[in-house]
Amino acid sequence: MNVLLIDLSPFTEAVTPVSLGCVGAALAGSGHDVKVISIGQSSTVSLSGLQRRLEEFQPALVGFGTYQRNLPHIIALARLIKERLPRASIVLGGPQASLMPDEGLAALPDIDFLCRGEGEAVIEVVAEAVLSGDADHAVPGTTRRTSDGGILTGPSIEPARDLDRYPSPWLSGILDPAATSESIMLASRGCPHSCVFCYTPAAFDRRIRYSSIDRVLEEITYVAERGTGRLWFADPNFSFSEKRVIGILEGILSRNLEVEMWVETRADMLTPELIRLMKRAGVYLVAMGLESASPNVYPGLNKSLQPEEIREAVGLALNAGLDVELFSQFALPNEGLEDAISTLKFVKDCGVKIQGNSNAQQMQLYFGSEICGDSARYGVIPLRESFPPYLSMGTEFETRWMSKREIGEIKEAWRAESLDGGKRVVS
Amino acid sequence: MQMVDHHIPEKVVLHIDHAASPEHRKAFIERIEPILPHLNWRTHFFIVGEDPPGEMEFARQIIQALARFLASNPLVSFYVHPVIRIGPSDGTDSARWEEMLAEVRPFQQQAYEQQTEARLLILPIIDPAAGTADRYWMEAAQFFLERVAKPSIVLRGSAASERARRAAGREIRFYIEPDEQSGARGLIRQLWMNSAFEDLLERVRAGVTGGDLLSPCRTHRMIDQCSDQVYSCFHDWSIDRPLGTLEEISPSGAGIAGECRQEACAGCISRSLCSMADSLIANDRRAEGRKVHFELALAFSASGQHREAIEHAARAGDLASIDSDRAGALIIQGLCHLDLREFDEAERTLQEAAGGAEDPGLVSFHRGRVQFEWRDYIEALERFEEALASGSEAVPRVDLYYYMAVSHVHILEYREARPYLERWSQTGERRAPMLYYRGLCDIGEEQFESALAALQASEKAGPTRQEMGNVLFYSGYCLKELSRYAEAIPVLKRAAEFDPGEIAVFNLLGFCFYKSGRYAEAVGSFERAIGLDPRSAIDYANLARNLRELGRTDQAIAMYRKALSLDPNIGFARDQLQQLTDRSD
Repeated sequence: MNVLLIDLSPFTEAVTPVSLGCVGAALAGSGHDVKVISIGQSSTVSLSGLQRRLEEFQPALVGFGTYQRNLPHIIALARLIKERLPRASIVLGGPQASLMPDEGLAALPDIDFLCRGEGEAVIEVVAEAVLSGDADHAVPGTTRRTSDGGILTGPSIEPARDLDRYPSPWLSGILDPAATSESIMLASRGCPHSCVFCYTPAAFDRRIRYSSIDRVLEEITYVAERGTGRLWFADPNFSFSEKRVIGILEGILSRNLEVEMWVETRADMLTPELIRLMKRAGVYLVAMGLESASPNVYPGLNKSLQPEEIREAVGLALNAGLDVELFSQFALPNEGLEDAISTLKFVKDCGVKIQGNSNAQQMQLYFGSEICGDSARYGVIPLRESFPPYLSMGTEFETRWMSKREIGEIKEAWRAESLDGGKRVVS
Repeated sequence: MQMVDHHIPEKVVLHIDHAASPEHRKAFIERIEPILPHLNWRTHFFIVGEDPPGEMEFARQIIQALARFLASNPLVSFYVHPVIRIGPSDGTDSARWEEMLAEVRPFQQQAYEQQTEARLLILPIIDPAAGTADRYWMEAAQFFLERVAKPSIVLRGSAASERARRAAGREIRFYIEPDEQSGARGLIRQLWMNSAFEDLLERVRAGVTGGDLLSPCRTHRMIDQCSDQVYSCFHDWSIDRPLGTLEEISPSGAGIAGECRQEACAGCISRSLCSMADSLIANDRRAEGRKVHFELALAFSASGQHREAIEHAARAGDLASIDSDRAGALIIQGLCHLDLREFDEAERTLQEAAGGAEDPGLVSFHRGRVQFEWRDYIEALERFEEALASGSEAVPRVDLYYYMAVSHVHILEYREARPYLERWSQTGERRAPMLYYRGLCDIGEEQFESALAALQASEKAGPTRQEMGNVLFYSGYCLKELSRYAEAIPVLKRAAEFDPGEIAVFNLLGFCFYKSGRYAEAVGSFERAIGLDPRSAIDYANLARNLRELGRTDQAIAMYRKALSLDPNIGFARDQLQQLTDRSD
């Protein structure tokens, strides 16, 4: 069966579609003919070109990695696919689909399946269902549309405990490191923490599962030898185990791999020794989650990390010659304008350049996060009465502590301090 | 993985005919519609005409057609930049502008519902007619800014930059057109320059360098209603080289996409950028402009186009706001002048760079190179010593040792050259030339055995083809000095193969043949030498001596005479001529 997997990023540059690569590797391992494409804001593609490709490849199944921000474009592309290939089935995976309410699917007439579990585990079952032509039975790991327009949710599928059981998107050849300037790696999934703004704990049941160090090193070797050697680890919590991080870094050194790595780490894990090891192994940037520096705010986020610990870790990293990015947000629960400004000041005082990922963003409320599930309790006030059932509140809210106007003010304050100033949209 | 089809147009400039009848307008729009599915999923449209101030009906009709297409193709977004001409007495024409912006409302509503961006954006280009008071276009700009329709302003004439400066800080782009009367063509020229600049800036930000910077722009098309022609880019429009007529391309629409003609791209990019200094300054984009000019200078320099590189480096310097950036631009200029062998200019610019450079040692190194090429080796050594003392890590060590050693060799300071050869040797790099110069030092100090050993080691170390001729020649020279003529001959023959135009090789080879008693071959060598330099008196004399040995007395006499006529001071020629003529008498 021909399967087309599409990563659509209308507002950012195209990136390595690593999650779809994982799904594609699983399908290819089962004998399906898989194509993975990535469309970013600067990708050039015309409607006629898309139609031609669809007609040439004739996919029976088309999958999308779904986020709140790309869903409207996915809906549009799904319409185009159904017009050209009415018999093709369309499946949505990714964070927005995993935790979307069933009513969301009901409002998306061109979508056939929502993948509710882990992509690799579910997609093969979906492929079998598509091949069987049976449109009326529940499919495990999914919510599906039936032939009479009903919605059926199947039993869940337990994901593999050991990620080595899934084929690698790189080693299977589904993703090509030579085709990208930066290779995104995924060495683990899930996070044990319970940050109230984050959807990950719900999506992964607060468990971390991971690939073995050998598998990670095998992937890094493969990618480094064929691509630019620039790696970006997309793990939600790459450094959950110091022992594992050291094992990976030492493995890179012992294999003499020439890589440049962007990694996210927790501030409480950084020691001078680990930083030295990181630098030797090719880490050029460490990113850390700050969220808020205000004592009125961060205790309520369940992040269990003090800003002063972060300040110390940033200092260590900068002194060692590493670049640092700090993730932070505004319009958080309990956060007034002054609190938000104190976070901006904190980031500046730490000596972190306000650019790239260090540009703060408004808290975004997605399906599955604790705040999204009980927004009123967290003082979140929606800016409209209802949302389409497939979209969560996103940034369409103000809080008990910060009005829409004040949110605009803090956004502007960050923009004014930003070194990359955001995108120009002028003639 | 990423979908990139470079043939798909991402920008379309519609040069509309303001005098077109309603029927012609309708026909034009009907011809545009079939091409829309073949454009990029995010396409910019620029609608440029000579409409009288206040007139925007035709532009509105085009926007309506685009909106109809978007309504049935929800994957696509269009960014429309209509030119809005305002006159000296119009004031704000808000009713008409509101009417035009009304086309966007459904898309804004849809964007609001879906928490995304509107798929139809109108970003007007306000073009005030001559004599329009600034407050009119400022009011117009404010009107559009308040309606999320970020405007640009065209300011014309010599005072344009100053007028833009007065309005700075409003997040408005200015097109600074020096020609007050250039009309739509002048504006299209401005769009061209800005388009090339934005493409370059995007590449520079993405880390693109070298020749790739000069590759074709993102694909754009010009559709000229007046001539009904479609052009593949701004440049082709400027030289009236159409892709085809709109009538031909319209039916299937697919013909709007296609290959660019690349041969003129580098020159077009270069000229475009050089024409927009005023716009860069007016738009507070000096830093971006400097970066782009600087990278272009590097790209042109790397491709050997030094004049272009100098031009861009000079502009990068003009736009620089700190001394080190200015110095960086001057260094590029200096090095380009050096490559062009314009040593005066090279020295002048590098000297100027020295004051503000972040790395004065590197500048000293390059100044040393200029003096070296100028053959002022003493001055060169002073600069190289400064570079060495600076400890600059940017100065290439091997090159520095090379220049220092060779400068000393050139002024016969062999003992002083040796420490630099030793340091060079310790790097382990480029061993062949290092051993060659070590051999030259030995020759200079008349240590021919050790010179020969060094030169033979150089040959084994793998010199370049260019170096090989010299290595063999001096090996032959050492053998000659050691009176090992028979051994010298095959070495010099090989040298001649590498340097068939080098007269000294044939002279030396001829001498070795002579000393080996191989007079006929010596004659051949000296004849080759004379062939290379018919005024070489010594080679005529050597030729004569070998002719004499072969008993060809008349020819020998003639050659001696020729030698002495060119240089009467060749003693052995005069003596032997005398002997021969005495005998024949």
